[in-house]
Amino acid sequence: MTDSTRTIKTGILGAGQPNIATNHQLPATLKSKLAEAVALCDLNPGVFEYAQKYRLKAYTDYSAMLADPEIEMVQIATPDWCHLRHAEMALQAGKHVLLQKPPCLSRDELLKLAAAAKQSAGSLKVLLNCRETRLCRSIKKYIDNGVIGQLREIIINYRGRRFPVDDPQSRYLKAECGGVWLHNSMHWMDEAFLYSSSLPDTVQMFAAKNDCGESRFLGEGPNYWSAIFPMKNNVTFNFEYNTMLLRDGLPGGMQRSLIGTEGEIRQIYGNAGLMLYRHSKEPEPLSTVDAELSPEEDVIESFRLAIDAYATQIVTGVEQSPRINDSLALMNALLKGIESGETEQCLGLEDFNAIL
Amino acid sequence: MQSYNIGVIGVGVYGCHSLEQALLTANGAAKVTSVCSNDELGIGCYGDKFEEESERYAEKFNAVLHADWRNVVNDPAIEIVSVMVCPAKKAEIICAALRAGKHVVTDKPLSMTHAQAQEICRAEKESGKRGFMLAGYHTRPLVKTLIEAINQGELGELKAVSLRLCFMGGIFPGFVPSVRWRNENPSAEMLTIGSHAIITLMKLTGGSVRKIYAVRKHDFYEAYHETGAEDWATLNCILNSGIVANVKVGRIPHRVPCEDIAIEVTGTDGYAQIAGDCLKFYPSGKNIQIPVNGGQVLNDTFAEYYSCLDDSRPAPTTFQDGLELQNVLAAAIKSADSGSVETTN
Repeated sequence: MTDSTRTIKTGILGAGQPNIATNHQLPATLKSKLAEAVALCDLNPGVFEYAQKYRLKAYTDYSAMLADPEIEMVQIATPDWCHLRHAEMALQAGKHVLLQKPPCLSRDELLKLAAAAKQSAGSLKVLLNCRETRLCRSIKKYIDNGVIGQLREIIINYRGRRFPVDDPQSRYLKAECGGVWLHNSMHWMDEAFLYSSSLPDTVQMFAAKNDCGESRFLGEGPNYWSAIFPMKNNVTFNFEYNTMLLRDGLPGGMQRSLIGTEGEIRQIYGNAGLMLYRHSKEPEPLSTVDAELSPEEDVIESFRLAIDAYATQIVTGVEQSPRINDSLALMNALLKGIESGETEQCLGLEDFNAIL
Repeated sequence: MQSYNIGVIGVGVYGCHSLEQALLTANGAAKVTSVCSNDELGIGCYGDKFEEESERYAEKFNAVLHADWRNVVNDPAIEIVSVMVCPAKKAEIICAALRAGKHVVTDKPLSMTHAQAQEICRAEKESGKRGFMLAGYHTRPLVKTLIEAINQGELGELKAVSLRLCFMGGIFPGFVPSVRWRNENPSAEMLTIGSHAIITLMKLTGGSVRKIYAVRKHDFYEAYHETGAEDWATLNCILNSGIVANVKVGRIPHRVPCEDIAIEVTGTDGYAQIAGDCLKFYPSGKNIQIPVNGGQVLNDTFAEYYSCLDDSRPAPTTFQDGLELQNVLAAAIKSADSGSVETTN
């Protein structure tokens, strides 16, 4: 019999310096009432300071943390190229794994990850917090309330520079890591999935590169991607990821357009607000949920909601959205997107439902 | 400005407007002297009142109404023929007009097929006359300014273009989509609105589309769906120069105030965006605001066409542009049908 009131004790890997683990996942977990942070782990000795500050256990040996019987869930926030290995280890130890995106960097790794999850007594979830930001939750709410009728077109544009990498030898700058396309795009792929409740059927992408600019913003491979994902339910996801302009002066930002049979919800660059356009009606600003939160609080809250959803899943045994099969299918779509860009072909995407 | 006698072939086909009104407005000395319009030229918006409306139209200009378009083409007094017929009939009429020594004005697309567009361009070359295919938003002041900035190297080498062009407010007033209309056209809004977008893309980049992936959708109108006509299309393109272009076109039911055409252009040295009635450049911070006046743009475009006739310069949009457009459209249609990336000729 499950105890639906218990909290899930969690250890966070990668929490030894200022990064997503310490800036976002740790504060979110500390805020959670469903998950409880009990340990931090990192090779960086800075982990002791964080652990002491919050009175948590500190590990510099990942295997030792995995051997800790108190820990049920492991949050993995290590560099992208470590995700598969660290997730496999945790799954083999029977832990539940909340893995930062991207879950892997290749098709081969994707299948290995799926196999490890299938064989584990634990479970696997990709940590996708973007869908839990107030903007995305608000858009989802309005779509579900039918304000734009039936959703038909999802258009998402990212404009701005990639995250800087100061070490010129970093694998983040190598083609094998897939650039920021693989590092970040899963958030927007998941957003399209969230709004449309549908997975992509095919992918077609063209890519370009601007090789002028500082090397820490550049890396190997393309830095502009234009991708079309026809979804299975008559929705098309049109995604442009533009990290090409490398000089100072270009304001970063996101632009979103959700077009339905009866209207359009828009977010424009440099504006966190939403506008609604409908036939024969005046344009209408839309309120967002949790409007009182600061941008930083909104991010922490988005992580808390994602962590809570997984804790609920572990306690109840009922898989919460986003399901792992769906996340792996979205990751596969991104990997196929790279292949599409290289081959200049449109590629079909298989169903991952049979895998786990 | 020199006076011109205009022959009109096709009145009220695909909407209750024709190009001769723009020709007359831009040149006070021009006259419509000869008219032909009938059901053979393509489905019209007047239904069974076609004949009556054509008569009224000819009377309005005190022009001769002909039952056969060949009489307009062969009228020795006519200098410019406005061909506003369905794409399926265009090649035959335009070629005949050019061979009869007339300048020809038409709307996009140039024809039904790429082969027909080639034939038209051959006829134009042989005739020495000037063809003008009205299409594209490159004559809009903001787009024109952007093109000038690109040509002056303000953005460096172009790498990417993102373009959204929607006709807003629902189905064109009075227009009733029909299977016949759909069959007389190579495609629906991917052609109607997409032609403007593709020509604009060509003018922005100065390049040719090498490969294209197109998705056609029936997103909004049952009346379109029933006739097999798309009301939305997404085009992902790569040009010969390596520029990547993401193009979205559609006829949407709602309106977005001030929005005409939305463009983002990224080059090696800069980025520019047209949003609403504003053109912004980064990193320079230059900001230009010009409200769109569609009537003025049309008038200026046709005034330019007349000046091109006077000094033998190419028209604002040439038949050669039309041929290139036809090439891209043919690949886009093939792509939409096959679900594959298609290469242009």
